[in-house]
Amino acid sequence: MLLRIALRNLLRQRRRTLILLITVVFSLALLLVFTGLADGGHQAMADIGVRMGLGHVVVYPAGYRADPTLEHTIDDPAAIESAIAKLRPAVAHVAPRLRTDGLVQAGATSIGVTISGGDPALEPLVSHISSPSVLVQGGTLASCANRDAGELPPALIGQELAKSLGVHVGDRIALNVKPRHSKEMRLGAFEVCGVFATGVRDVDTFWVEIPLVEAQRLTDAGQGVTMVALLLANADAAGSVATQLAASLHRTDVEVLPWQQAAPELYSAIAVDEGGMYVFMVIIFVVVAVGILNALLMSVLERTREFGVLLALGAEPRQVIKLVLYEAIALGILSVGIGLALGLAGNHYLATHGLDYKELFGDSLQAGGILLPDKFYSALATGKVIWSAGVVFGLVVLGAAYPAFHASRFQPTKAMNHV
Amino acid sequence: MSDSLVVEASQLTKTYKQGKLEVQALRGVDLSVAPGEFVVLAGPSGSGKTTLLNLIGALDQPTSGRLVVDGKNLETMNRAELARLRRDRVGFIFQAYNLLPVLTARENTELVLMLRGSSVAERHAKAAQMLSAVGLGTMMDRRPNELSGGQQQRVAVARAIAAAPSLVLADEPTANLDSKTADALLDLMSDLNAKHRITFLFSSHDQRVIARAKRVVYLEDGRIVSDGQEMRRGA
Repeated sequence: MLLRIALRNLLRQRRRTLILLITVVFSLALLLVFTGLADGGHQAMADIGVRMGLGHVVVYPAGYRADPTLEHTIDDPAAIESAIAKLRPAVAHVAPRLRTDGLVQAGATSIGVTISGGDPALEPLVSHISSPSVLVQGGTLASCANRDAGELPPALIGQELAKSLGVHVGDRIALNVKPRHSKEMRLGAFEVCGVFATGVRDVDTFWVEIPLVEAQRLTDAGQGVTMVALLLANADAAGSVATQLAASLHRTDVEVLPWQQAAPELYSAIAVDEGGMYVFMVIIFVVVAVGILNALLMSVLERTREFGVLLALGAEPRQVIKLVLYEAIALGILSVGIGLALGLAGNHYLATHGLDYKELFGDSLQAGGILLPDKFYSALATGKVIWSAGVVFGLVVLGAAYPAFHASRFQPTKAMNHV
Repeated sequence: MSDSLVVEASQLTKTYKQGKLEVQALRGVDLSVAPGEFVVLAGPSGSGKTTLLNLIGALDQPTSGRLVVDGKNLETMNRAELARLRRDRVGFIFQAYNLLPVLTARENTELVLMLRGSSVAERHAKAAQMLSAVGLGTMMDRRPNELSGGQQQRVAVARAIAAAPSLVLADEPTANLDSKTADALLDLMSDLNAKHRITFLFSSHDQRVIARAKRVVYLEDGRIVSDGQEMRRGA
């Protein structure tokens, strides 16, 4: 019967109930849509970062990160790869790489670049840099690999680098590197096989991709690599796969890192953005809590006389508290239900159609030095839906706590004489 | 004082603060009410009738004095215990009816039984019985705004007696009613008093009510100036 009284009280104050309902519904719906978009954006950022010459998990030779030279290499990558093979299907693709700094020369122009040697067949599966999707001229390393003897080995270069060097597909470039254990620089000639435009400024301006064997030959690295990159079936498993692999390798001459540790600047950029999202959440939560508190307190004060009657007739304070809380719970169930439906519908639309950022704001969005895709797709985890709905519902009930307590403390005779 | 008394008040005082002023609403009231009595507290406005009823109904606390209702010393009871005393032992009829507007006549009548935790079936049966007893058996599903003032006060009577209290307190119950309706209500309460030996304690300055009372207690300036029972004893 207390529940019946609570429901009828909500219906009696239709306008106030409707305003409260709309506040909670739109707060939750907005929260879900923005969380979905933010998480989708973060996933896109992480995905782009991971696919830009990195990997979900990376195995480095010990000491390489502090001193990224050829003095630190993994000379038995096959042993690493066989340990990785045991982690399939969690690990989708593996790409060994030899990376070093050097100079690229064309004519009189010379520019310092990162030279990355990768397997022409495997590298595009892990990294976008050498994949056909970012090529703006020419072909991939794989398409240029089967060349006649005497022809120059192939190289992919960034669009901005090509402009700076004034070269095109088919032109010759020279790579100048310091081989392992050598103090002398060595020059190798390559032919521009393709030009890529990834959208990441540093990559497009200072990056050269060549076949792994050519990099090993040029640097006298033998079978050595400077990293083995792993692409996982599930990006969220990076931490656990890294731990498993490290335990399985049990070696001190290598370190296994998830992308969050291998690219801390990217991880920080995402964390900062997530922090902003949490601030937005807190604002939404405060709006809901204050709205509920204000509306229910007004509602209780307007019904002071009725609470006085209830108390006079023998209602215990806990029964009065229950009555007000029932109103909040009923309101919470209804508003959170509608808010969930609306928020999930909005998310579904944005997950399938995406939000065209460039169309909306006229420019592409950059974060952590990475040019993000023009279309954002919402990605909302079930846990976040439950958490958001739970917190909003909890706040609705919590917002009713003070008005409920206040009503339970009315002095019956004073309350009944309240005008 | 006897254990069988429904109300035993001795030297009750009540002082209110109105701004910087202190108003002495009761100045040492002694009153005993036995089971089955039909007592009217009479007196002019401001004489302390409502204050005395509020204290006896455990709606307010005395400044000093001793008050026992249905064998319970109110002084020693906390907020929840006082609420339970009101719920289980006392029925209230208010001048302004004070029905809950969102509930029907039947639901208003069930209210005290609900607060007590009675089953739905028991509540329904009791409410139907009480509303029939006050002549509203056909209007059980009407809300207060669909009932006349007299009908609302009848619902209030049904609500007051539904939980079979030891004592029914009525504060100016006929003040808002026309004479015909007031007479009918008094007939109803006299009948309930006679048939069910329910103790009624009224406050009123309505001569019709005073004329129907078996005992009239007059108050003036917070003191009892005459008590019909004492007069009868003295006679």
